[in-house]
Amino acid sequence: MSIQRRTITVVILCNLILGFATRAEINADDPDLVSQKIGYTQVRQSPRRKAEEHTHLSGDYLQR
Amino acid sequence: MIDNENATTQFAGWSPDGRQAIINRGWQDPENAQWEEEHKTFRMEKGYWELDSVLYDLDTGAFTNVSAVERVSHYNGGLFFLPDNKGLGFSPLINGSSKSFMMDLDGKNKRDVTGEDTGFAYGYSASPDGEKISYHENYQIYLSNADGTDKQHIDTGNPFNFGPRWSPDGEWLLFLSGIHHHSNPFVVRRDGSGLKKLVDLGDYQSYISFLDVPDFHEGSSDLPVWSTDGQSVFYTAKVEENVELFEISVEGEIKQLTKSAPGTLHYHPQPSPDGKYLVYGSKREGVRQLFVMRCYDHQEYQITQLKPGEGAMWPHWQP
Repeated sequence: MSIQRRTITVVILCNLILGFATRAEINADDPDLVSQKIGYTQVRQSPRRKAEEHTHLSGDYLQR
Repeated sequence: MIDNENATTQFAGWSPDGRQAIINRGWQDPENAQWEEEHKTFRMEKGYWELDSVLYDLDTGAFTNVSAVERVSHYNGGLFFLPDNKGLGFSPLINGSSKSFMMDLDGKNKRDVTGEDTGFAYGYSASPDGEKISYHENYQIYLSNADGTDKQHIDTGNPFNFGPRWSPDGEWLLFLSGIHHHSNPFVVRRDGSGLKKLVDLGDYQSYISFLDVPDFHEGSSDLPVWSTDGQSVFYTAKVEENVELFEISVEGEIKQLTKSAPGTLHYHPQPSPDGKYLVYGSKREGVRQLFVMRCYDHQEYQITQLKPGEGAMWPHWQP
């Protein structure tokens, strides 16, 4: 299969500080991949907070 | 959804038809955050934390806070769709204890299905046929009918059991078992028989920090997952100083999918709905990015380009 430039759309519907949407481009040689979407969360260290405080901003399965 | 500086959001999954995204909206009192860090313990009473699950309709752009409809708790996590659009499952925190609840698709008719003798229960999901539910309660695995009746304890003999996940055919549960920070994947049949350890994780702690900063909460669990066809399990395990990505077939054949530079971490593997790809996180060169691997030839693509100080977590394929 020839290598072609393809684009996969990655939807960021939310993050831990500010919500925004973006797209990530990759080179892929499989047409099936370009039509698929992945939701995920982007975390980042807030300038308003100390680094050690940032990770309080979490959810998911916390191993208590 | 970010309505004040201490609010957060998290992408938590999709509806079965892929038209709605599940987004968690959280908030923590900053003074409580400081108190928790100083005391190395959770303090999650009302007024200190908030967590709601919101459905975002991609066609209309509408947000529906199903947690807020006939609200039962200030902290509502773990939302998932029951099979055949029969409703939603979630885990509210009530009187200091996490419960397994169901509700209708519009958020009404919230009801406790945790059953009798309840402790702290989460990691909750329904079997593909909708007839059974599973969860861990006080770090023990339980199965019951969907209405909470006929509750059955899966006795592994281990003090830490976590995150049961149904196989695609609904016949098996996959979960971690061992002691906290030193557990391994186990499987058991839905009738409680056939309990066995699947593989050894090399003493992997089974959680991933969000960023490289101290956090007693221990970040996010990093759990094994079934392949789309149920014929194998993807997992992460420690190899020297790395955490590498593996696949084990139901027959026990192990494939190491990544062989990385020293210091590399992998986490949160998720197979695509068609089974052709695997998305996962990986920390390389100091930044946690998302990658997609094509399963048949292990061709890998990096799909995020985050900067130092940022990280990509919890990928979910749209159905």
